[in-house]
Amino acid sequence: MAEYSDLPQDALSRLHQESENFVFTSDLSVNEFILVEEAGFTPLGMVMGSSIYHIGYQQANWTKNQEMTVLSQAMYNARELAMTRMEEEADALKADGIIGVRLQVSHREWGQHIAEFVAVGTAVKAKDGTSHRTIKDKPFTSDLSGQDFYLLMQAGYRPVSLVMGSCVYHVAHQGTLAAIRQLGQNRELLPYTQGLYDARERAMERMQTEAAELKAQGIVGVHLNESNHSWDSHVLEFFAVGTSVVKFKEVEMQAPGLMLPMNDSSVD
Amino acid sequence: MPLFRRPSKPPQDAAATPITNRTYESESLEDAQADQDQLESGDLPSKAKIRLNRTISGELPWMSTYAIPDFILVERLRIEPLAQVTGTCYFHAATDNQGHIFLDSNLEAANLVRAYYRAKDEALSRLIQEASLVGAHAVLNARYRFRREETVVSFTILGTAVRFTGLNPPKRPLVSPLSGEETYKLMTRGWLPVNMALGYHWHCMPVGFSTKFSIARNWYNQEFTDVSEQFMQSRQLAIRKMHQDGARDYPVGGFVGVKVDYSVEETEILFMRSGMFDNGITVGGTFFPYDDAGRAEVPAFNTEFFVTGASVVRLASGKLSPSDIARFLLMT
Repeated sequence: MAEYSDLPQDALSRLHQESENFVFTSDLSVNEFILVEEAGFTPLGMVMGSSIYHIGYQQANWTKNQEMTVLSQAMYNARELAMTRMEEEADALKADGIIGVRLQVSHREWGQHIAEFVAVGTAVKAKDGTSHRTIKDKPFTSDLSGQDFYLLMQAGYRPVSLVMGSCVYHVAHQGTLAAIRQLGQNRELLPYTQGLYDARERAMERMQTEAAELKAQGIVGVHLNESNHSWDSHVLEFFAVGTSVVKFKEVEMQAPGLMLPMNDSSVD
Repeated sequence: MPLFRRPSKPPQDAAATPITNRTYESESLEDAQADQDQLESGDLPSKAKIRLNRTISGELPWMSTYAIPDFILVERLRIEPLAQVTGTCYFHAATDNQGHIFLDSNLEAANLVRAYYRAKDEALSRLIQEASLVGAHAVLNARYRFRREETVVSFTILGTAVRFTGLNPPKRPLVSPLSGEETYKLMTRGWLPVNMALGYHWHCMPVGFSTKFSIARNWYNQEFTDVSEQFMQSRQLAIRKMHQDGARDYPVGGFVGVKVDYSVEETEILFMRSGMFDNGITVGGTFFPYDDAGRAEVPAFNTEFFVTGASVVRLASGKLSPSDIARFLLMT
């Protein structure tokens, strides 16, 4: 198994399918499990990738809006490493893809600049033997739940890859002069607006570029998260993540019935 | 994580791990400045325009913020997602040099109210500019957030620009903060989501000792009628403003998904001496003399009422047809 040299030996023996003791593992709920089966897939095992990353240093210019490229790059690389290791585990299981991928970042107490990036999901394989791997011959990945996955396949879309883009941005502190000038005026704070605007745009564009490279047609379920990761209060990470899809068949789905629940969930 | 600890030598990346090879290109300071100038002149940052153009030309994939069930429901309505669009604005309300907000002659915080509206309008117009750039008919699933820190009001809105298949692009795209399921339910019943509207009112009411101290010291049950009345008035004004705001660009049939937030808060107002022989002011039967600097601090109550909603209009009695929507878009 030289091709998976990046994986620990324990992982490889756990994932070894031909062994007599092999049973599938999954973090799917019962509903999800049934629906994934219904969609023509069978779960193979839980797969995981992790990367403990030292995030480098970058000096921010106190009065300037700027991207903290060292940090953007670090946040991206670390997530990508975790994802790639997870994909390698799925490869070892000879899976077609991974569903329900969760990407988490946690900070460890034993190092200020150290963060652990973990990707976890359930590897699945098509029952009829068709391959759903990406054009780069990697298993497909997606953050969709079993229900979402089923619905998407029913509608004729196939997940390609979990795509992401990150941008860490330093928003300028205002100088005293600027602060005095604007005291008595109603005015827009353009440096703030522009900083956050650009950071969001960059994160989204990077995500789209990643999907375009995999020849995906669209991205569904996009989330745009903002988080500070305990940096300086003027430094923010914008992280865009979604599942890229391609349409593989035209289907006319049955019209859904209109159901209006009579209990009001907004009232406690 | 302290970010500004100066290292003894410039940072060095460890040798890249072979499996990640993507490098992000960074934004130059000139680009940031150019974007700021563009925003100031009412335009969009160039990066946003490039991204949207590449998306609409098919070079980049389309994207949607809908959850999967919503995405599929909306597809059934022959609505195509085009791109995620966003608008944001930070707005500062005028203050004096100690950070006090000015009240107008009605004791309303007009500057603050204006900051809310300006932040919303600027951000919304950026969202609409982005949507128009991709030829969208509407921005659906537009999630928004108001935030206020002291006197800075920020508003961010983020949604999915969509096209109604087969219709010509409108002059001004519709905006709807509703989910795909809600949109589907409305559209199968003849309603079209049109816009989002804001109603906001803030009033500051000075009170005399009779009110202030009876609140703090009295033992028996009683209503502070003037505070309740003021609160009711703020509420009415806020709701009236939401109606006006909603009806500004489109005819409106009503509001759904309305969110309400309100507060009544104890505070103080500073009154300034206005003439040479002015000794003080009388509020609610109590006399407040001016101090040496010509100021009097009067106890007061803030009544604040905030309401946002999705405006909808009824176009048909049954399911909406594309021609209903086309006719409505032409009308506006």
